[in-house]
Amino acid sequence: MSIVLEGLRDPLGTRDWSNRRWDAFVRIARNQNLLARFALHARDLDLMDQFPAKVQDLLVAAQHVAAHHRRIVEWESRCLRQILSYHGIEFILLKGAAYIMGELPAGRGRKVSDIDILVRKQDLEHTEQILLHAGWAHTKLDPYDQRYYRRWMHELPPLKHRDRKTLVDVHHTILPESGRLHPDPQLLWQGARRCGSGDWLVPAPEDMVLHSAAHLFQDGDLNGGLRDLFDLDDLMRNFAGQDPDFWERLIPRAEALDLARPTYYALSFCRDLVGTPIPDFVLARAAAHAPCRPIRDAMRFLGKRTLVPTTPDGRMRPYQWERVVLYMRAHWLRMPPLLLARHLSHKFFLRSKKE
Amino acid sequence: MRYLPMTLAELPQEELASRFRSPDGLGLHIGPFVLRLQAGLPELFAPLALLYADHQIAPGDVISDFRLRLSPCASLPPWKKRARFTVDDCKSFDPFERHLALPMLEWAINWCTFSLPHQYFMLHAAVLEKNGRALLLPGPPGAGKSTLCAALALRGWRLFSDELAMMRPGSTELIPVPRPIGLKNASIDIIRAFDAGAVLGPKVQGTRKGTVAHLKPPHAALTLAEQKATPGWIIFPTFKAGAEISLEPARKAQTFLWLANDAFNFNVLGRSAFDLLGDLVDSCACHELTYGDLDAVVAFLDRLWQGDGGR
Repeated sequence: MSIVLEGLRDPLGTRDWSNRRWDAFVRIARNQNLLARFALHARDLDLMDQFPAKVQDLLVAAQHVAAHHRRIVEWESRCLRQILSYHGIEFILLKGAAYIMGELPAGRGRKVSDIDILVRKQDLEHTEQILLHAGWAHTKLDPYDQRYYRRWMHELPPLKHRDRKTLVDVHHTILPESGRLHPDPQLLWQGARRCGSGDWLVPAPEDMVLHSAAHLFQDGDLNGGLRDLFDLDDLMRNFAGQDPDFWERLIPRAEALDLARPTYYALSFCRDLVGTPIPDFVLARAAAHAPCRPIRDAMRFLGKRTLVPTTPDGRMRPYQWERVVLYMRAHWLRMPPLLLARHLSHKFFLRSKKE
Repeated sequence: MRYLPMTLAELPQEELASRFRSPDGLGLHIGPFVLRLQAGLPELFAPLALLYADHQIAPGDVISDFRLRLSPCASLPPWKKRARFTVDDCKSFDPFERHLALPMLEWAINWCTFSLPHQYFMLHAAVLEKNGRALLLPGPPGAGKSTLCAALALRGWRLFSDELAMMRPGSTELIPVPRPIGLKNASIDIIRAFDAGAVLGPKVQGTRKGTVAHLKPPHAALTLAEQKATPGWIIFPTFKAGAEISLEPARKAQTFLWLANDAFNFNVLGRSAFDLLGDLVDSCACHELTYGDLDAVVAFLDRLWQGDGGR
């Protein structure tokens, strides 16, 4: 097993690690944004004092960064609520912001690069105007990109605050409209619930898991996805621990939201790589939505190589053709062939014009 | 593995080259940090051996803080030779023209020490020490900070760092991170004229900041590399050609704001940075200094230090 996975899955096992193992672990975990998560787990287990001094130092640094991200998320979420609620616009916090503001274990030590919120589609334009007036600005200035986002994506072009430099992604659904799968945002709104000390609106437990799965296995290219797998692990352990019916509801909900395929991938990778205790019957039900054998095997191979970007001794794999394949897959899933061809040719000519 | 503390100067040339090329790279102690450096550009071996001669080599199995790889890379058109950096095997920076490799390497080490070790509070300032008391020289690029820092380092002040004032949250004690000092344009000849014994690396032309050369830190900066210092003065220097020396007190609140604005990770540490910076500014004499002559200002700062008793 890869050193990163070994350490993250079983912090107790790191006590007799050699310096070489630590060197490899810390480097990769830091770059996969998982070092702070490891630090907090180690602290819970009272392991900190047993680590080499240098490792303790690096863990302190990672925790400072994570605390910084938490402060940003708390501040930005409050700002957004203040501005949007004044205009009567409701929003659901998604992903990292939801984990942190919802006070979930998955938010502990979580780095958050942008705040994701979901608004109703009819509120989208108004939300954009409000944010533009309140100090946010567009980062994608190219008219093609602007049109492309508005016509085909599931979110506005990303907005960046002029002074605070924080990014906010305003979604109206959770997967691109041009893509193959179409989860109904109405269902997300129906399931949403209030939680955390500020009564924040976040998706239902199942929906959080399904969104994370969809983001990783349908909309993304798996690069840096190890962090998302551990998010999924934290979410599922927590929800299943609190509610025995959670597992019963997961797959039917995935089917209702048109997310059964990415859910199958998420569950099988979580169990294989992270060791998430997913009951057999859930995996069996999810497997009904698996693709045909050759594609499943190919994804298993590509996914393992990309999600865990190192060899067992902790070295980064050199050039990864696997990533290129998955990148192409992500685009293939995002757009029907004709649109894809148009999009790529536009991007290609744009680039050659610039150079 | 056999290990005795050893400096780069003690390492035979062939060994140096093979370590730079090995998968582990060459481990270098830089203040409290360990840098693993892999360099695939042979033209850099000699300048690095010169500039880092007194730095200690870390054993192969030590846990490192940063891993940096500098490698040639293919480019278009093919006759333009380029190179690029990779940090931790994960983050790659844009390629640059190969003759800029030395200043780019220094810049990449800066990037690592400024943006990763958040266990420390890091201010943008030169730091020098004498008898346990430290002088902080913050200031925007072009103010003459590096030149003054180099001059003081060559006249008996111990070099902590040319750009990085580093403390652990909870204590204002300064931690040395000695490295070569980057000199730009006119400064290069000024320092050469100021001290004939100054050891300078090759001049590199055409960087973003003009011509650059690096001053090897004096031997003493590395032999006492673990000794910390208590901060004594915060002085904002400004070079003005032909100006008389003038020292004006700077208001503490203003000093706090200037330093906070220029700190590398004030926002990351939040409250502990706020408290620490408050303690630092409270414990120091804060001044703005204008000078026009390097010899005169060094003598002036020596007298200032004596007047203060060098406590």
